[in-house]
Amino acid sequence: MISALQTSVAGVDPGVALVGLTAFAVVLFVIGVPILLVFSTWAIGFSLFFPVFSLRNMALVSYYQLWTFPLTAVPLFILVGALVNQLRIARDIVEMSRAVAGWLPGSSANTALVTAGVFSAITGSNAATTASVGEAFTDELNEEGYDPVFSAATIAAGGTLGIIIPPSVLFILYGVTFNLSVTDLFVAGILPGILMLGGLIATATVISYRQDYGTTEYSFSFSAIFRSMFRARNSLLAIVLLLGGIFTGLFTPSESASIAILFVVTAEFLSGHIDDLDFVTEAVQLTVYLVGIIIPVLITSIMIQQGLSFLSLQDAVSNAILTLDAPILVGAALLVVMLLSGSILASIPNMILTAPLLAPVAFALGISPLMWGVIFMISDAIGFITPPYGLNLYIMSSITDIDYIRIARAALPYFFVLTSILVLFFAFPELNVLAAG
Amino acid sequence: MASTLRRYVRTALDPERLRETRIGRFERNAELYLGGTLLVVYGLVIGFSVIQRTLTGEQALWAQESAIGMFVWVAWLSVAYVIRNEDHLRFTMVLSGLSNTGRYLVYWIEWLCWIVFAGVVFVYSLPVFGTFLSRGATITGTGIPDAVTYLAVTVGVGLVLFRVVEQMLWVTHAFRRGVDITYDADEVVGE
Repeated sequence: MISALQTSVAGVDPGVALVGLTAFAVVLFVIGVPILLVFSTWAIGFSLFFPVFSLRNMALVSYYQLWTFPLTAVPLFILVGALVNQLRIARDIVEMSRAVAGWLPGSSANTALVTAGVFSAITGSNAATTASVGEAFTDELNEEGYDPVFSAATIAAGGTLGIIIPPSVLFILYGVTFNLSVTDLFVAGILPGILMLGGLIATATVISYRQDYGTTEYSFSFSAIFRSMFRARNSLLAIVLLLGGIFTGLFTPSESASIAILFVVTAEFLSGHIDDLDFVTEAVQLTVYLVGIIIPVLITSIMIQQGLSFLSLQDAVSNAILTLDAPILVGAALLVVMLLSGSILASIPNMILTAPLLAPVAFALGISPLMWGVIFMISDAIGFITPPYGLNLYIMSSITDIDYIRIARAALPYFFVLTSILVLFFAFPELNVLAAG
Repeated sequence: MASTLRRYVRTALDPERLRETRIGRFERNAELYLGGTLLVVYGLVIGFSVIQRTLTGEQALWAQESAIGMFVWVAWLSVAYVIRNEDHLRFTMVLSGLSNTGRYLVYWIEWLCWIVFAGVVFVYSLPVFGTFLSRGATITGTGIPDAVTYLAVTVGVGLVLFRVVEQMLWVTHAFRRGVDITYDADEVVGE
């Protein structure tokens, strides 16, 4: 039946077929067919029109793409984050963040941002960070008189830290897909992550000061910070285990995540914070659920990527951009394409499809493969707060019932700050001294 | 006999009713039970191998490949589980404005895409599984055939097909009864 189908489409002009297939995929996407099915339909159509990849390839990619040890870290990192959310640790993190940033103008907004930074270092995910911080802070920010739209935008922007501050689930997927060391990517994400957090805090502080948001009931105190850090010791130790083990080379990312899970459960049990095992069930359920969303998008994106590689689209795109000649124009074009693709595509397909398309141009500009991964991830993170596909905007919209376009508009100051950081690392990649080694 | 059969059919077509039966809970969460267990086990296997390496300087040969194999199972079981929850990632701006009929039409397009995709992978996974079996290789350090790890793809997409057919029956049944099936991110049709 399949060979009959291939025979019947054999006479179709490949160019026309490709345009038709892509247009059909766009229609599927727009009407709301799940993204993985949009991709799989394109990949199957491609196999029919260009029989260079047999359909058997799909059965092989579905297995061999997953058959790699670093990828086993993805569910484990999600599980660590889910466990932390279920346990009392999450509250301790909020209290610690308040002691660190609550004294600034816009106390709770900045507390939410610092919390997002700490959650990022545990969950490694944008969406998980946004949802957790959104649930924890929305009511509180409203009670303190913040404009609800500003609050939602602040939390959505804080969520972008999730894929930059290590450990990052997307860095793992990037490293596995493009053959880069996940540990090197994690290390290279530290400085941009800290700078992004600093930029977001500065923005929130200025806006809150001008609009007179927040409360002045908290003051800066070293002893309060140390006390709160001691109370949050289990989460801080979990982060030390997660990152320390990876950075010192003692553990692989999967091993670090596994040890962190054992540590969190044991420490909370010994602290008397665990009464039953319901929290494990809920955390495992959330993990299975998120893995079921992430993995098929990854697999089908790779199926498309194989097709695009065969068409040498990578060369076509890079040659087109390089014809601009002047490095500044080439760089500007690259940034525009990155930001556009980040706002249109979901993060995983954007990473798998767009990053390799633009990589030759970036390399021609003297950016190393490692730093290109980090720069691309920053643009991918910015895509989480830009419509039409700003996932963090959707999450905050569903939590607050505010129209997501209004949240996107309120997030514009954060967008500009994050874009400035992107441009900074793009223009001066050597600034990221941790990526050099 | 006929009335018993009718009762079974009615129950099978209504997820609310099905949930109240003895198999209801299992039907709802089958992939979660198996996938969740494998996730915890492979997490423990990795943790065990780290502790063993730290204490003895040696590492179990079987740990790494076993963990990857279980991960492949978790991944494919999870895909089916998410279909049961109607939560695969999608663009919802147009979808959320569609009428009942419009949504039903999109459901059909979606089901066809699922059947084509999962069908292709399922059909082509069978000979690949056969190749794994005939090769006779085992997971390093164990006597378990590595075909067991590939079986995750075949069983996983098989479950995907099952969940899609199940959804077809439920949504169609609900649509014909005039139940609201328009898009709601937090709801599963029929529940």
